[in-house]
Amino acid sequence: MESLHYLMIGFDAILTPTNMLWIFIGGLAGSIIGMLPGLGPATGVAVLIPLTYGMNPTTALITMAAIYYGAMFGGSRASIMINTPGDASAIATCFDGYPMTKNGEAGKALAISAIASFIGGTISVIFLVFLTLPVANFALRFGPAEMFALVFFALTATVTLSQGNLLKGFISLAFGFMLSSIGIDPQTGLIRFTLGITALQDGIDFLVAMIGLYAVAEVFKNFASLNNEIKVGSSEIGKVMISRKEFKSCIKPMLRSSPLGFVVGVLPGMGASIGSMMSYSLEQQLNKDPKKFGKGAIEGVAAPEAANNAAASGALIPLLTMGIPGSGTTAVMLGALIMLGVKPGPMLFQQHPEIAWGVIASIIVGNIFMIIINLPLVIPLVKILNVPRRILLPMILGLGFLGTYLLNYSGFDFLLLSMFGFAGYAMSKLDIPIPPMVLALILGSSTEQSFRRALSISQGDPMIFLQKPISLVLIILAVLSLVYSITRETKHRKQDKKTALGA
Amino acid sequence: MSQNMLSGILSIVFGVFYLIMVIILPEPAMGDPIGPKLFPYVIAIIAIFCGALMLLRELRLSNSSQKEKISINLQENKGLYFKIAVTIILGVIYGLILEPLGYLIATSIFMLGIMFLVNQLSRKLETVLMSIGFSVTTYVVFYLILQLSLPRGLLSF
Repeated sequence: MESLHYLMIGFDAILTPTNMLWIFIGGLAGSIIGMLPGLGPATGVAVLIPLTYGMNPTTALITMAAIYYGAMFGGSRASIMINTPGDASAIATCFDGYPMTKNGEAGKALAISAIASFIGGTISVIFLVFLTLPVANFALRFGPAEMFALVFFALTATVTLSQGNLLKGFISLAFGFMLSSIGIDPQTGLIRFTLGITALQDGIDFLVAMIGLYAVAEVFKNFASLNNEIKVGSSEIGKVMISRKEFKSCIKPMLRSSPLGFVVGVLPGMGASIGSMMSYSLEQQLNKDPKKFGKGAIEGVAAPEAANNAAASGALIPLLTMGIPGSGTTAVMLGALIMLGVKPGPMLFQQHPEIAWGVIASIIVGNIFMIIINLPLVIPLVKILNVPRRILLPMILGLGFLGTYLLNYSGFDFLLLSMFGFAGYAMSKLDIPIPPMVLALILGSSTEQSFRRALSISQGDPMIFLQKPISLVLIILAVLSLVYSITRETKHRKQDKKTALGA
Repeated sequence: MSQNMLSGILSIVFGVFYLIMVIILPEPAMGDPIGPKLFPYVIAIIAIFCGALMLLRELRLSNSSQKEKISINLQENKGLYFKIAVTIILGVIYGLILEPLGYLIATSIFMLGIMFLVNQLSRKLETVLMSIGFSVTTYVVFYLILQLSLPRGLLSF
């Protein structure tokens, strides 16, 4: 029961008025940003990073985590009310959430989504409590070869497991590695790829890149839909409440979706969006009356909502225990933590258990706050959807610039920020996924260093990566995921060709 | 030109450019035996290889079947690209005036520009109030409450 002992240390660290206030503010702000169409948890954390600059590491991490799951709670509001998901993880909630609104059951849908989010979050935090310590202890044994293999696997999986074009994923990955290699090489002191620009010698600040890619680029994308006005009235919502019978019919779906979402969340590249889709189709198959799905089935809201919140906790396992982010949001969190001088990984659990366990304890507290925010206060909250985009977008832009300035106190970074904003916009136009680039950007330097360190241990023999058992397993997994997705893509392309010829 | 074709070409261009920079990088006299060039070589090759594969596949597809291509329409998005360009220019100007003029004045000017851009010069009163309101609110929150340092510039508070 070592885990419970550490959990108490975590509670000790976070149960202060300041920390409670920040969990509440973070959760509320995350809910609001997560609710806005197109803006998800990654944008939420990126825009609100400046709030954490003056904080101690524990408070900063729990605030960011609160923004993260707050956005998971909030993401479904827009799905239910206006059929526009706040971000990808809330897509599955549209399938039955919006039909419920059309049936006049918006209140019910909002209530079950908050309850399911709470249950998903709470169940998954229990897994988190008991799994982090064994995983962290296991990761302590990793040397340079294992670290390289781990990042290799994580990055390959990010590309192969996420749906989308495989080649474009690898192109995005390569761009990220190129950007991360700019600056002084830490092992030899050689200045690389700066094009003679002195300001680039310290490398590209990855937080500037992330604010550009996730905040500025999102604003650019939204410029196209400036005049889409939304009207949400409180009269049509009705009572935010569900009956006992409805709750009963949702219990099993929620209990099944939570572990599913958690496991999917742990895997790099999968995350909340795929977890919620999988749980939705699973419930559809298991239900006695699958035809009602898509027409306003309450189980169809409960399942994906439980899964996506559980996935958010799952994603914290690789982040905290190994320092490996599996998604855009956790990458932004990692970037902010590194800036604060905290390096997540197995050593964090030994040197600063109060930080690592503080965040786990804070999720338990935060989930309670979130259900309070999202049940009784949901009606005023969804009114925020009525605030026109022409007011919201400039504010998000303003916060992005402010956060960038506060990083290095340099106006030069604004040029870099704008360029990343444009790059992010161009990439989304070209359908090139952004997360692989962000992960490579933040992990690039340590990947290269562990690659070189492992090779100098083996005196240049690349077989070292296959001789160490842990690294061998990870590399086999990476190759398997690659082979799997190549066969999947070829199959799809053959089908496409057949339909093209048939038509 | 289709999305995929342009992605492939971009990847090849960046890959080749990067490869040239790796090649002209001087060999360090000392340091580790693997050196700071091997890893970048691998990255450049991945970028060129993936880009080339993507391009080849696209070319074959456009020859063999009449599959509908998603092409990028520049004409249609003229207004959008104008907004993006102006935002970037405003951002750079913001960076230049932030320290001399101070946070409050520079941010008000930047927000005024962005809000006028978004509103297409209508709703003048609302725009002015929102811009100044944003600057003052963030100044109070970040400078006075969170005590982060922001340039005061011309103003003495």
